[in-house]
Amino acid sequence: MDPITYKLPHTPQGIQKPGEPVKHISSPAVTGSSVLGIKYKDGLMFAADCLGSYGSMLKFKNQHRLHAIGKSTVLAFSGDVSDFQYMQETLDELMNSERNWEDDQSLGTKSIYSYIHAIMYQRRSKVDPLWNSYVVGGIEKGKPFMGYVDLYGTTYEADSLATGFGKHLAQPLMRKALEDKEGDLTEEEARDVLLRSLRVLFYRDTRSLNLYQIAKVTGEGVTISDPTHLDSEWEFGRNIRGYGF
Amino acid sequence: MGLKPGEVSTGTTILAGKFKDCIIIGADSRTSMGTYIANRVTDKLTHVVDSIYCCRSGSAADTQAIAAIVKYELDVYATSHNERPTVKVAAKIFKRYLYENKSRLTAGIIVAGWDHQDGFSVYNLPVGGSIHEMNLALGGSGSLFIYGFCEEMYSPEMNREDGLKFIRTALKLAMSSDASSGGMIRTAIIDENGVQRDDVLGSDVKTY
Amino acid sequence: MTSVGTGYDISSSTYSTEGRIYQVEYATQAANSFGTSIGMKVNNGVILGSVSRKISKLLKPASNKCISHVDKHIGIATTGWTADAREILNIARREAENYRSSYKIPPPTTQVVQRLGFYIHAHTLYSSVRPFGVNSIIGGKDDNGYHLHMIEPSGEHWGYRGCVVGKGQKEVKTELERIDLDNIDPTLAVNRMVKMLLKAHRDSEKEEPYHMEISWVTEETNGYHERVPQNIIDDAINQFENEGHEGEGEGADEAQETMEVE
Repeated sequence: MDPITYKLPHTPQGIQKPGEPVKHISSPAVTGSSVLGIKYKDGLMFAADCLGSYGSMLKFKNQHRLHAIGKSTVLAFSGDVSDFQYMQETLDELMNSERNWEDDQSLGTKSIYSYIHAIMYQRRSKVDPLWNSYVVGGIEKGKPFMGYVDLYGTTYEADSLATGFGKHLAQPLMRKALEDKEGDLTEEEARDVLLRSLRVLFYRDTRSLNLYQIAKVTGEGVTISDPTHLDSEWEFGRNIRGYGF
Repeated sequence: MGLKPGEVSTGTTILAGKFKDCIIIGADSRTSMGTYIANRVTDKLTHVVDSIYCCRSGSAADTQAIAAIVKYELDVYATSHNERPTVKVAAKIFKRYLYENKSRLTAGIIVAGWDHQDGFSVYNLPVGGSIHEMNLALGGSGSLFIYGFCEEMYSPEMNREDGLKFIRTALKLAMSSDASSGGMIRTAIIDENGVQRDDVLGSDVKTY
Repeated sequence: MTSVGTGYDISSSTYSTEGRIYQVEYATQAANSFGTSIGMKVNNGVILGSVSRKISKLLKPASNKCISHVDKHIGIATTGWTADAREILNIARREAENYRSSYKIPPPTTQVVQRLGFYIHAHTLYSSVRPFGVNSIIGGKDDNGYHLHMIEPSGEHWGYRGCVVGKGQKEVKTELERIDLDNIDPTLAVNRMVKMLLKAHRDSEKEEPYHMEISWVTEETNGYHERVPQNIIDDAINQFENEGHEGEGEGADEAQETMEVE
């Protein structure tokens, strides 16, 4: 379910009394909606719109939600932007201290994924979760990998992944596309299904925007597109009058 | 989250924009406790250090305290680095306090100004403690009423006069629709030479 | 050293009657008796280099490093006791990381140097600790451009355009002063540095096998601290071997006591 609409049980904010357990209260402020990820022939492709909502307000319309971690991993987030920025700082510090070893090794996608999971699970266990759902994907030792983590510490892996509304609206489209091609999509087919999914999300998710980014991870590395306008179809609405009687 | 009973809030409309050769920040002057106006001549444009200002919205107590702490920290930064702090560093220190204390604070702050390194910058730090660099940042309860106007009329190419007119019109519109915004229009024009502050008296603000 | 044996040289917390701190001087001697390190701040880049005698033929190739990353854009070259150097490196990294978490921006080189200098100096104040037997050359890039600094075992640190420590100090210093550091390009500077290091090694260690490391921060590395590609180093080594030892010792007598300070 959408992490934004599901709140953890918490006590209302009050003054901390001595000896009482520490209380945390947080709810997302600036949030991103669905992100999508799918495997294809040459690697993985991700998509997300560029919106940072503030409640029901479409406040930040140039919010990048797909980020490269290292040379062959993409981190896509939905949920709270400030918590994501914290995660990004944490991962940057991790990648930095790994680089210091100079042992010709770098953290692979799976290691980054399990590190993110460790942080997410630790924070939910402190009842102070990071309010995000992540899709982490990349190529490690020539093989594509993609996993999901959310604020409860839930994880799963699949050939196509989505967060938030995308779980309901985009996942069926992506699964069908994979099924039709027996899991072997071309770059064009992958891009096509992601754009179709984004379009449906734009039609049916109130917290969405027709400005999006696509990220690709291939053997060559990570490329993230500039924010691009998403076209949409409204022609069929032209002659609709009344509502059925 | 949210204000505690009896807490003083800056209600507020705040605004900061990048223009051709300057930055202009603006705010109304109303501070309220519920429906009572606790201060009708508030200055929400707070000097931080050098040519860096912040616009405060949310709890008056929280934002005053944070502005004071950050000002102190930037003074320490300036002496220890032998160098004036950048707007970016100022914004990131604000962000650190907002993020690390998000459960205790009600504070939305815009940090804007000029520095030697990056020139003009505007950062928006909404409640929650995320950071967003932008050309035009709006904040506070009154900003909701003027997004349409601002998105339509703003251009970073505007000169100083047009920019000031734009900021004042935006604030006037917000103040005329938002009960928590009102009073005077305060503005500050920031460029590499310094800061020029101007006020429009409440009696001269034409509301609809 | 007339005060040696009078008891004033066993602790760095007490001056000798002549106003010297022998433990710090001994540490400096120790730091200067292993290999040679050079730092060069050049046109659009800063370069660190180090040469030392190979400890053992049995050592694994990548072990016993004397150049390391402090942060993405800062590197450090150390000469002296390796175990002490490791501690210095750890502190440098800790301070860089600390700076990041306070200000959320990459640490300026000078800030890391100042904090590290403070730490090293603190080890010259107490009888319960031993001063570090290490010279550190730190190079990096930040918003104010490229920086090169050297910290001595006393904790003293200066900004340099070119600096050298270790066995070949004297000769290299004269040669460094002849280079137009402000205008030389990084690749050419690496070439010169390799030759200076090799010469320093040959002068003190003859034909002993050596261990050389060169790193840089330049426009080409996008401001990152990286190791210089081996082929650039090998080219310089080959040139050196073919050229022979021309101009050996030339001008060494005119070596000036002080380097230009930034």
